[in-house]
Amino acid sequence: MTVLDVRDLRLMIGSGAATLTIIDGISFSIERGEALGLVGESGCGKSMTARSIIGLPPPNARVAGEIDFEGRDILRMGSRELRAYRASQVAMIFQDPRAHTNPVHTIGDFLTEAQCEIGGVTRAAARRRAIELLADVGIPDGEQRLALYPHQLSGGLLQRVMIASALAADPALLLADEPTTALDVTTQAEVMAILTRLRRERDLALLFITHNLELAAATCDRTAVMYAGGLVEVQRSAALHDAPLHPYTSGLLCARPSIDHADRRLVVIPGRPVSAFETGPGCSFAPRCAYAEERCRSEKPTRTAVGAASVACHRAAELQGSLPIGSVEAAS
Amino acid sequence: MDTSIAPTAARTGAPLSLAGRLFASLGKAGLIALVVILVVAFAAAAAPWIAPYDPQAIDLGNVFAAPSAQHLLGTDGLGRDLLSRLIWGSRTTFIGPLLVILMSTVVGSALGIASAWVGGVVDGAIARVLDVMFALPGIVFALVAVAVYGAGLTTAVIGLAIAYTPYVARVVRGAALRERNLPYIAACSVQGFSALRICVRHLLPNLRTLITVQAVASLGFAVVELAAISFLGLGVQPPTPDWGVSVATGLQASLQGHPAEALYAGTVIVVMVAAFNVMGDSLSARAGASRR
Amino acid sequence: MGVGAFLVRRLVGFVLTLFIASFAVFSLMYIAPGSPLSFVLGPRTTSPAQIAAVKARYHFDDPFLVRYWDWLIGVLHGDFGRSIVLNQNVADLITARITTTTLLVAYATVLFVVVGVALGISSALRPGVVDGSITVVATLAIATPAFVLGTVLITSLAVNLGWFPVFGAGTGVAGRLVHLTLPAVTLAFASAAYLARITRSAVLDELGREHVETARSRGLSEQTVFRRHVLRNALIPIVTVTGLTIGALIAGAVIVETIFALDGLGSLLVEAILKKDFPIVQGVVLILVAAFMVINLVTDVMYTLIDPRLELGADPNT
Repeated sequence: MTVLDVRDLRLMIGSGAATLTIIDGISFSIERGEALGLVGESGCGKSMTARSIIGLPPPNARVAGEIDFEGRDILRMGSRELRAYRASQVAMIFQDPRAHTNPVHTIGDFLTEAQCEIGGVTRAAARRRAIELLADVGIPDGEQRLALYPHQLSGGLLQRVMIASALAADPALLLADEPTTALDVTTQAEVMAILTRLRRERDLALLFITHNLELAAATCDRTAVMYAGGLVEVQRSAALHDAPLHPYTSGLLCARPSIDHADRRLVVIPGRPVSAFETGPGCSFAPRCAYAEERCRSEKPTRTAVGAASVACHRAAELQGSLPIGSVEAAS
Repeated sequence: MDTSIAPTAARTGAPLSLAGRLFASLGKAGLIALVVILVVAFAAAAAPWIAPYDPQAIDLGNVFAAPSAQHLLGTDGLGRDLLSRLIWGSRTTFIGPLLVILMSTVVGSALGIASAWVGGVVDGAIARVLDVMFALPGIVFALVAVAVYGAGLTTAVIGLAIAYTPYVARVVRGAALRERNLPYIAACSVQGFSALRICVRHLLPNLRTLITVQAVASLGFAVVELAAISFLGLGVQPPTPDWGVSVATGLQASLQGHPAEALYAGTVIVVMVAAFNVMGDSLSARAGASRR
Repeated sequence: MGVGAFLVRRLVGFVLTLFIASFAVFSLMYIAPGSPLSFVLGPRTTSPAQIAAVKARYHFDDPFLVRYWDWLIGVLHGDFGRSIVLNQNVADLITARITTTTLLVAYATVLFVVVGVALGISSALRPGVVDGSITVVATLAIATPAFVLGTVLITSLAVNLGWFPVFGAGTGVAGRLVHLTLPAVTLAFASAAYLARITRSAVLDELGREHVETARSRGLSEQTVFRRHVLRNALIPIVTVTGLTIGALIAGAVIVETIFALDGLGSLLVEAILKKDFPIVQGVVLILVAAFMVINLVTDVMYTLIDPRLELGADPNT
């Protein structure tokens, strides 16, 4: 069952002559219990996508298109409906847990606030639920922790608390905006394990935003690769790893240093990542693409199906299966 | 624009003229404030030449005259020209606070830097002394000084300067402590520079912006407090024209139905203090932005 | 550090500073040019018998430290000495006038906090015309010294329009409040504008913080978000500035009481200075210093109460 269906989402900042396009028409969907990884570099618009889905775009932004949540269009909702939607249907966890928790309120307050203010639950009941939630994310002595303040917890613990609070209202969709980027690798693994388990237990739909292709591939059912405000490829994660369909994805895979052998130089994609408003006519990746032709520079490709996946590349059919996924040079 | 600048800019191809640089560092509001301050400074400096009358010239046949061609702002209760009194009054109202800030900034910065540099017991002792001084609000301190040494501008200025010193010292000390831990200071020490040389030639220039911004921001306070002391009759003594004194004499005149003097003097005080405050704000906003 | 240790440490610091300040205040008479004796005698010519009597009465022949000690002990017993000019107990003078000053400062505090915070919030939440006009007014208001405003108010409202009584402190609770209104407004004016600016920038700061985004993403109403996450956090700088400003109000009361002829400690101080009546000056300054320090102490404690990241005794200035 489709929980989220995004159709031709566009986001612009500013107005009149100074309008900048950040998201340039993207479409994707997420099924119940499915995890979709959204991968891209800085400036590609992935954070804005998540914020549009939860109905909190930046104040000076205009959002167009359709975001269907279980049949209702988020972008057409009134503010009261939106708040109800945020309170119980969708939840978001953020990259820096320390910046995203209020330092003057306790953890207990953080976990019970939404329940008490919106759900009308009593403080005692909310506290009990909070302790259960903490146990769910692997924090056993919840009772003591409730009285602590955010600055007294480590980053990893704080992120778990954030996950716990996100799940308090039993949402159908969880948006995770780079939840592990600010954590060290070991803690990263712990948090990801918790997320995966909870997702399976609650049949949660997950949009997992990251710049780490490996992480997305390891934890998500499908992966969507975003570049300059558009989706260039959407595939099942395992397949994407073995046989990428878009030169950009291939470039990202090749740029990973390998632990198996030594390279003389790291492979890079020439140029720098751009935002949607910095692209010209034609394919947004064309200036950096090793496979670009004349057609690529003048005509913008649309995302079309290739088997079970979809890709936005004029040469997708001919390149299929032949794009490299790693450096094959061995040290001499 | 000053013509001696233009050829230079053209020759060297410098991107910004003097006016352009000023605008960049002050912004529109700050520039207006600067103009106001310069006007007052000019009035203070050129008073003997631009004031139409002697501010002390009494003309008992012409008291409380309305504004006219001879007396643009009218006269006060003793027939003295109000415009001339305002122009001459700018001197004490300008110089006094300037001296207060100059003295407190120099002494406070020296104390702050020395305290931060030497550290240890000396720093602790100085901090204690400053704590005691913080216990007295500025104006009360100045009043006490006046109580002891008698009323007068000098006493008030010195008293206020002493009262402001701990505030400067605290800010400078905090900044100096942070600067001191930076690698370039250690590099100087390693090269064998004397402590005095490091402080003066390396530490101080980097604190210059902070000190300047603090000083300009405090000028407004100094104007207000000094004028208040003069208003009470404990600072500048009448018949010397001073804006604070004018408000006091103006108050008496107001009660007799002639509010002009008090209003004029009050307005120029507000305008000048606002100018200093706005300039202080612009400078600190620019300084903060450039530090980032 | 724990509450107990904090309180002890602050109390010790308090007493120590008060001690040093009292010593400085007491020495006033002795560092002034001219001998203390001449201050007491004034310009009157006196006979040797009278001089001897004054000397004995004020213990002028005792060593300095002994007299300081005597004075200090006296103060601790509530005896601030006798006024030279008025020939009354300084303590009595102070007691009679302390109510007026306290009422004035309290009234002004309520005014500047309520008006300042309200205007600051309005300014922050309604950018554009409202914000712009409040900012301009605030800039001018901050630059308006109390003595200028007092003069303008007296001139326009009291004399010309007769709305408010001009001088004196009134009788009875209601009467006193009416009489204290103009002085309190004068005292609070610039501080309200300053607090409005601080509030505005604190609220704007907090509005842009990430934890506000988290609160919104939970579906909390905008009101709840503002109250519990924006305003609550903005309180930190607001409370700090309020505490410092109350201290400034105590100093400003000196001027306001003089302009409006109120019988408070401030006007007592000014009169005493003009007449070189040192025992009064010493006594009043000591009270002012103590009040000032109590306010600072309370502000420090409040600061640590509302920001749990600070431990008691931490220095927010480093």
